[in-house]
Amino acid sequence: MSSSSPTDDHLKQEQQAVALAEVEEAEQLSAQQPHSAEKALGTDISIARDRNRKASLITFLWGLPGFVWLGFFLVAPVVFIILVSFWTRTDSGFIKEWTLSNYGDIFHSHTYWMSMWKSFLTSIISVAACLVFGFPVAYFLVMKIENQRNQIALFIFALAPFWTSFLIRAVAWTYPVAGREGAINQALGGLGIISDPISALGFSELSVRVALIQLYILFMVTPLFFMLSQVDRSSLEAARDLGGNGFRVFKEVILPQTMPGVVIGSIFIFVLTMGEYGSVRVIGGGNVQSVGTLVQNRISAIQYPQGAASAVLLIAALIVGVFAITRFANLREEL
Amino acid sequence: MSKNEKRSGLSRRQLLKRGAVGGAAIAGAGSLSGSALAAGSRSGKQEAITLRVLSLGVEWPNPAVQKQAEKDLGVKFEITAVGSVEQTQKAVTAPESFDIFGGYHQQTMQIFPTGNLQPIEISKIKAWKDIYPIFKQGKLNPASTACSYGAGDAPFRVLYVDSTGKYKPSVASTAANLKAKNKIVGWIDEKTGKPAGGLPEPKYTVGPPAHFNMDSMGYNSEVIQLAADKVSWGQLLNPKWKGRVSILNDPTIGMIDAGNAAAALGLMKFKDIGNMSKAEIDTLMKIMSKYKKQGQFRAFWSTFNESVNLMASKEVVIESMWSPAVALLTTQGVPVKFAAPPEGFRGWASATGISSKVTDPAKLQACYDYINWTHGGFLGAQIMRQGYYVGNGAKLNDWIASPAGKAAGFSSAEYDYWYNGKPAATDLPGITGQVGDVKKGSVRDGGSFTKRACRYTAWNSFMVENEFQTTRWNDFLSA
Repeated sequence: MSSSSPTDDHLKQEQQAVALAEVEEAEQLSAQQPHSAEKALGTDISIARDRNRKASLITFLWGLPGFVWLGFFLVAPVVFIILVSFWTRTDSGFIKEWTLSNYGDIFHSHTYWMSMWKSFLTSIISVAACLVFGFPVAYFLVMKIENQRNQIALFIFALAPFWTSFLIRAVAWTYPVAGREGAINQALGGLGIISDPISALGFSELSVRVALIQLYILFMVTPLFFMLSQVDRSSLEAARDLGGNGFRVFKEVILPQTMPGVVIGSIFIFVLTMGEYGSVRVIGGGNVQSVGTLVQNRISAIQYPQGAASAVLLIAALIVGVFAITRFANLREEL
Repeated sequence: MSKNEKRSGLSRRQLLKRGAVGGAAIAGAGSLSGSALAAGSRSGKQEAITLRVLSLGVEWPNPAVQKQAEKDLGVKFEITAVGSVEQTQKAVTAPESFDIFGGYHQQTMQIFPTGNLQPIEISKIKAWKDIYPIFKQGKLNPASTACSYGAGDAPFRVLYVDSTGKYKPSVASTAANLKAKNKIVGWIDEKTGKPAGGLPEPKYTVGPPAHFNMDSMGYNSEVIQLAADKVSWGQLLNPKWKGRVSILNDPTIGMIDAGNAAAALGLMKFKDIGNMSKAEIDTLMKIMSKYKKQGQFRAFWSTFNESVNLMASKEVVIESMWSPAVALLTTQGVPVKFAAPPEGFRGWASATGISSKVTDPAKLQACYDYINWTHGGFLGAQIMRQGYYVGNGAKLNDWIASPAGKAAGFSSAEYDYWYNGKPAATDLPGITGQVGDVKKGSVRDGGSFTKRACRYTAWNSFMVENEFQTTRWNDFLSA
């Protein structure tokens, strides 16, 4: 999920749109030409028709790998997860006996809904914090650095922490940084601010939330960077000339133009943090639960139907969340 | 540790990596499907047989083991080292993808009833007579009253296979096992210590015993100044160590450790701690949630490395731990000891199984040859250095003292340290293989094998109520 960048998605959408348009065009053309005309005009038209068919076939072929890919790696697994969530568990897997009890159990589980709520809260905090901390970074890079080479260099510099593996960065947020003898406690102790290490810094809800912001902020900075680069500079000057103060310029000129970036970044971070389980487990040291870790615990115990049902509800929550976020901008139009 | 070990398996596998061994094992993983195809055409007598091993990796501790096995047996090995969850999944869903299975007894309770492992003929296992009685009759000395069987999937309850209906499955059997044609059964009547109904030993087994050990807790001996045999499971809930305690994030192990602690403090009693009832799971998790809310636990670890790091970084002063983790920290100079709780250990044991898809006679024979090879001494000596015992460990010193053992670089001083509980005569090689891992004069925590293998509270177990167990464990972790 994390590998597809917004530009990829954009490209894909564009390709699909082009493909659709061409298919429609070809269909229209063939519909417009009745058989009699075809006969009268001889072979020219049938050649043209062939050419159109060929064109649409080629487009179709171009799109095919993408559709197959999505079908195989996205649609099929999701369908399968949904099916399994309605099947019956056995000690060594599941059998195809339909049941609603997997969902029944979840609906009565205080733990599940509590985790859903906490995951949601963590996601909202992450999205908001990434926006608050990420926007100035992107703004600075685009608006304040004039030299394009410096701009790119600084952007790459900002990316540097992300060259390390995700897992290593997650582990860093446990005992090395936030542990009892970790960097923060040592610094505070060294400065004489605390006498006993603060335990709550590490292996806690707090450390998970702080770490997720650091782990995912790039997903906000990058789309903002590209959207801000496309902001019409003259519109900024015009706004200022017309007496807009900094805040009004930001609110009425910059923000509307960068909204698609905000929305894309928010979707990424919302989806990724809400479904997060690996780093929650590592950073939280098992103390912190998310819907993801609940699913993981089920899968680990080879209780697939229960895990699948938990996952299906999570997917549903994600779809609702993404739908809500997209209300803030019409991506198709504005990109 | 079955599912227990998605992480736990991972963890033991980490050992391999440390021993620089893992490379070969893990590289083997990728070639699984390719070799499956090839195996069919290779079954002819002329070409070398390839045995595909699905293993937790413990019995492949370094490349020397594979090399030696290939040399001695004239077959090729393809080793897939995985965590126990993945292993169980593979064994349950794809028996055609492997020939040999090396995993835990409680995993076989989940796998065997699917019919994916074949009953193994005991008469073909040459070292069977030397396998410790603890596997067959439940105790090293079956007549002993001082020693305990331990609750749950103790090997003697889950070792044998029967299709005649004469032998009885353990009371903790899953529905699948009770329905299966080839049932996992025990042999000994626990009340008398003698064969139930005076029957002879069953003829088949799920898998001959491989390596095994007793698990307990590692503790910081500078903070908790107690001798290893004075550290009770109850220390996990001692308010003095509040915020400095960790247990495994795995209900099938963690819940037994928690149960041991609660029982040691008299907070609750179990009818069968290795196969808890719903009510017992419920009560235990309520007790544990109370402690968790009070901040008793620092973390719940999932991998071997996590357990090592938590102790090394002083985040915790006591935690559920495996003996190699303690051994590793000791080599690094961390003051950690391995408890020998007065209540007894939590036991675990592994078995070597054969996939039911191995039907070609030559290949099947190769599988048996391999199992017999594992009892030969070379492997047992390698595994000894990790602090694990092998099923025929009583005979291990014979091989170590033989010219072959000496040529391979082993000495009876090592056996004396690991098995006999004697002080190390000189600096000895241990978990990393370096001389000095075990310092001269040091004594293994808990003492000799006979002493350590006597008291068990329970064994790692696949509980009948495993689904409820996971539910309540999730509740506990969210508390």
